[in-house]
Amino acid sequence: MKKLILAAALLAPFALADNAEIIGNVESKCSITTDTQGVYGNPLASKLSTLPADGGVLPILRYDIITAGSYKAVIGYPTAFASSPDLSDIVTWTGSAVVGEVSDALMSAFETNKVEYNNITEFPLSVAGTAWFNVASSANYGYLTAFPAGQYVATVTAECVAI
Amino acid sequence: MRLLFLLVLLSGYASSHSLTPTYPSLDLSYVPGVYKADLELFNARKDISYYEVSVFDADWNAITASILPEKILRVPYSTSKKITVYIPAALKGKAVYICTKSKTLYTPVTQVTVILSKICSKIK
Repeated sequence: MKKLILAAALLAPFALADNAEIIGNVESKCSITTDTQGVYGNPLASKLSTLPADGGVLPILRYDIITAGSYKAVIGYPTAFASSPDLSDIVTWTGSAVVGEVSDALMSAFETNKVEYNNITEFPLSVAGTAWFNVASSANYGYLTAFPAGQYVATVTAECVAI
Repeated sequence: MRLLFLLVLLSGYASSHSLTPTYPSLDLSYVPGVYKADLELFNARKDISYYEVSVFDADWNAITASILPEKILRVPYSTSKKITVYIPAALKGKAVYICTKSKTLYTPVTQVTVILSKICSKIK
């Protein structure tokens, strides 16, 4: 009996030894990350703007692209408030979306090949890596009419569409 | 490159949304005449807990589809949710995009922009 226990004890380490495998899959995907939520500055009583020069903060979106050429980024600046006090005059909206920081110099092609229509900018995500997009938004109320006091919220759309 | 890496690490508000696979396939389901596609949504946006799933044709017209577990999903922060989209055989050739869109419930501060993220996979 003692010999059997001894043999088992000696063989136990060999029985426990094994290779631990770490398995991972990398698959084509697009991730949209909201790096910075934009804030409107109020440089004039009649103007709200996310431009830093106007006291605002630009919304910054990060796109992580695993496979080149599988997606396009479709970014839209706001054309209406999602919530605001009652507004009796017309609000004029302007804005833009531009490529900011990039992880690969070849991503300058995103800016070169972008397509703009209405409030939308489309960027072909033709290079894998990470790209940051800066979105500017500005709202002017009436003809130099002061915005009523209250909460103003507008929506920036960030889409990643498989092509 | 180091600067970019630092930016990623230091971006305190960073939060993301992703959908896989990029090109899901439509396979026959256990219901005759109904096809299904399986996808997975990952929510790393702290500010978002709900996502809406929709199906569109090539011209971005909405297509009738049944979605499990629900059309509007609760996906807590840092979790993933498996989605199954059921499409009638008659619409199999028309359905092109399966999209997930973030739903904003509230905004805690004034004068902000809210970011709506939408990711669309394309049916093979």
